[in-house]
Amino acid sequence: MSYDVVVIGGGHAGVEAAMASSRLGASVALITHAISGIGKMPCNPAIGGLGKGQLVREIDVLGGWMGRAIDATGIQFKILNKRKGPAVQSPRAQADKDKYQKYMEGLITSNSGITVIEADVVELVVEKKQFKAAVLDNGNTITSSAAILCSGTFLGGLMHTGSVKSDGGREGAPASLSLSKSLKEIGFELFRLKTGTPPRLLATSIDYSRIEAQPGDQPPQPFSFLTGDFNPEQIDCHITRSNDQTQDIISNNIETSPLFSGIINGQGPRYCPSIEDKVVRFPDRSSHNVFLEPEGLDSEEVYVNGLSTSLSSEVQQEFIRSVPGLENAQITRYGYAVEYDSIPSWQVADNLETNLVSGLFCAGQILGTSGYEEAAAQGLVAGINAVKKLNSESPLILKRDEAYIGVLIDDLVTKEISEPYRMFTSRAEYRMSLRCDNTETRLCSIAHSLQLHNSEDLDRLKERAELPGKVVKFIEKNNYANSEMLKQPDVTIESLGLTELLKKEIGPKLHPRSIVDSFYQAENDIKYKGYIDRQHRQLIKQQHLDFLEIPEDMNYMSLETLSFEAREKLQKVKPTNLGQASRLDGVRQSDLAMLSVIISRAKKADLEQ
Amino acid sequence: MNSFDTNDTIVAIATPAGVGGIAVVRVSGLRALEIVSRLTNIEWEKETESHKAKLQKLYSESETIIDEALVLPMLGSSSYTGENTIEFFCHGGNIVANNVVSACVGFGARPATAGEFTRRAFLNGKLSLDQSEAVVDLIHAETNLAASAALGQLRGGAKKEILQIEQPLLSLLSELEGGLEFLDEEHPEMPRGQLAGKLNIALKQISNLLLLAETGKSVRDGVNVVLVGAPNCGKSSLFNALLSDDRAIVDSSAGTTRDVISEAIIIDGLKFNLHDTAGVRLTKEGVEQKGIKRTHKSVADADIVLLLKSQDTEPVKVNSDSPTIVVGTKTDLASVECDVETSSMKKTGIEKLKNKLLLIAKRDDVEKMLRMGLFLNERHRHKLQSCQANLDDLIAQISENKIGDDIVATLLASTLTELGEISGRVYTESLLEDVFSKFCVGK
Repeated sequence: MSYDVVVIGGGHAGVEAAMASSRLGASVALITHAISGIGKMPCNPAIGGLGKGQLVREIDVLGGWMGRAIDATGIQFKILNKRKGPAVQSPRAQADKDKYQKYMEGLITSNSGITVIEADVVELVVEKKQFKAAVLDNGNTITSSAAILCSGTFLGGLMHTGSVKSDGGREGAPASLSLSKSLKEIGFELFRLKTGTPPRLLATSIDYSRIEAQPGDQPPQPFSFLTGDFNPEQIDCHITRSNDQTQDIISNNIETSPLFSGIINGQGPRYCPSIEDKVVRFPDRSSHNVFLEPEGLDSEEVYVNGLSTSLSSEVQQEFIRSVPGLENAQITRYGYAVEYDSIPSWQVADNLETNLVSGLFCAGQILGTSGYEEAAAQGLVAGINAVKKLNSESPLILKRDEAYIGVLIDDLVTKEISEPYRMFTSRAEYRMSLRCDNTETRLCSIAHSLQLHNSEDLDRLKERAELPGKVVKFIEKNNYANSEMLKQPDVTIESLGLTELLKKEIGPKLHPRSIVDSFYQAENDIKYKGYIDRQHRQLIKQQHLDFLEIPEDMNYMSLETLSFEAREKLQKVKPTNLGQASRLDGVRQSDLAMLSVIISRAKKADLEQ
Repeated sequence: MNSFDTNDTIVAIATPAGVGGIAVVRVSGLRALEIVSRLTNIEWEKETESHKAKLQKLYSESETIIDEALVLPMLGSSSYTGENTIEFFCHGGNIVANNVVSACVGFGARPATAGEFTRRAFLNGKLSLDQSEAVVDLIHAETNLAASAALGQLRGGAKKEILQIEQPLLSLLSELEGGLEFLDEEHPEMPRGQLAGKLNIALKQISNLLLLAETGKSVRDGVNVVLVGAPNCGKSSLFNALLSDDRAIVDSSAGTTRDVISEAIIIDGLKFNLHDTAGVRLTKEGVEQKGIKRTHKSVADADIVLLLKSQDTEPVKVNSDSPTIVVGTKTDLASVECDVETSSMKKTGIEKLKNKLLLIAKRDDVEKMLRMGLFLNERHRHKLQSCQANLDDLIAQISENKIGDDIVATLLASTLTELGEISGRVYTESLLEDVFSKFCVGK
């Protein structure tokens, strides 16, 4: 069997990759362990969040599916950080995880351009540094010109609950052991990462009367610019706190945790620690937040956010019951830690293709990231770029000042990832201009050139993208004092009484919510303008480095004036431009200065030839 | 030629031009060992013992002997530039040293540009930018105080002070960022009062440094003292009385009698540039008119004005914002209302006047500056002023509750970038050009 693109893995990266490749005209095979696992949420039942909500909005505008899926299946919608300024506000939604999974499964299985194959990939066939085929455990071989590896935590996956170990990528799903071996044989360097998940509780066993409810926003805000009337049924989450007793139980049993007994070697995420990590690292803080998140409208299970653990099942039972509201809680599934193989991400270029094998792309946790959103963003880019490669077109490379996705991939290519990477707004130096509210405006023209959306949707996008600019222009022309007033923090178009006038004058055909959103963006554009200009003046010096391209065949090891550390790093990563080189750990300013001389010399020599 | 180019090997005479006992030629770069091998006709290798001088004959390209010189290899990171460096201690005079340089160029070196050795030290991470600037100051020091101050900074004084401002601001920034990255339940927002308080501490530190930057200027350039008074009120006599013991051996420039005459004196280690101006008098005579114009200009540039008054002349008035000492002259003849009574004839009151000058020039701050190992220059001052303005603005916007934490964090980050330009933690090509253009060749 032969396809243009084979996608290995059906998680959040795999879904976006397969859909994008298919939409761009490629015949796609998606290989997964189980069709029922397509688009599954094995960890928290939520999409978005700080830094991550921005990614989902960008995926949506560019033509990915995550935003539309969560809008269709979400059960609680919230804008986070409302008090802290528009640049750091992000949408987050609780998902009905079964419905979300079914939505994604439906997308894939109903797509005539995608063939789903239920199997395990045991080997990648590479000839002359070119990807050729994937060999399946059933003996079949799938040949293709390009492959996208989205294997999540399944590569060499090993799950731990207390001292009990089992092979597996996620609960109830087998690990891919042979694939790790195959990658090593091809020459990839692999390293171990770790992540964890908390126990799930039986909803009816929780005493909600004792704990605080956290409702969703009214009215709720959808993620996708395509979502029209939006009135989903919403349910509450709840918040409770661990206490001294929890602390004691965990510290008395810390040796049963594989994290502390030395069984787990993989590096876990520091910002998403297990409860035993928290107890050990913050011995003085006896109380930690516990968020109870329903896994669906009718689901019997509740996700216990904040109590991720790999302690033994007996200890989990004991400490859960020390938390107020959970005195009689019944655990339906125990928490566990999972260790897995990742490919250090410097082994891919900024189109997400591996440096080692032409036609082999990677996306998601295999590259050391954490989170559905980070995975989906990479899947989308890899899916697009695999087809671009087949068509000999230039790849989609988003810049750091264009999108969080650009920041994400540039970080992966240039930074040594030593723990699972998640998005933070502080990773984006252009944070003030990479806001959720202006995503349509930022990415409209790129979305148009990609053509993942149909033309009708692209027209809507364009109208939405251009509206805020028209609003700002109109206000400035109509009454300049008003645009000055809008620079004040609490002044809005509404408070100036301009809403109706603007609607009448500009009269867009957009959905009323899109109009309100556009007004909000226009206000932010005005309020932030001075600060953004100021910041960009400072960053412009840095940015010109991004335009200094480094020749592909540069042999760094021969450049003896560079520090040894820099030579090694540069040789490994092979940055495409000087800006990337400047962001590599271990590359000093002096190395950069020399590199810039060498590049300009090489260019000059080229011209003279 | 790009001044960032550190691939080639550079050479220059490191001692001043002219006749002297020895002249030092310095070679630095990748090919330094190869060049010294050609020059001495013996093999010098990486394994050669560093910092051990050898007496060697030096040969030109045409194999003729140029000189017999002490050759000192300083290898790898232990050298001033951080790369292989060879110094030749040749016989003095221009001819021999120039021949050595020519031979080095013949063997593949390139004549160094001004400050290029120090620039390489900076690029190789041996010196921070403010330390590099201290090297210029040390070379150009005219007083012991200036030399001590430069040495203090070379040892990392300013770097340390800037770090003490940077570190708390960096942790403040990371705390702010933490607040933006996590939910309120996990990471409570920092109260605005506390935020402003922390920024105020940094602002105060910067203001203190700025005061010392003033002192740095006095130590580096000297304090400008302008003597003003009616004709025949005894300006020249006082000028000479001040000069008599302490005349500096530097910086002597004289004009016509009607011009401003300048001489430098050193009091308690601090340099004062005395400017004797033309007498202020209404006159139609062209030359004198011109002189009076110059007087006004001198007064405008003065750090301290000495306004002379005597019983037998009409008092004059000057418009100046600078501190002014009213000096009574010829007080052995008749007393006059003033701050300090002097008599150039009897040499009385001169010491008292000098003490007053020291007081106004804040000689005490010099000690403080030396203790801190600081020697800030105009560039540092400019950057500090810009940081001061940024922080001022930021604190104002915070107290008026005009901006969210997202903007606070961004503005704080840009202030940190500016602070970083003082030590060179953050730099651009033009900044380096600017700093290193002040050097002489060979350093």
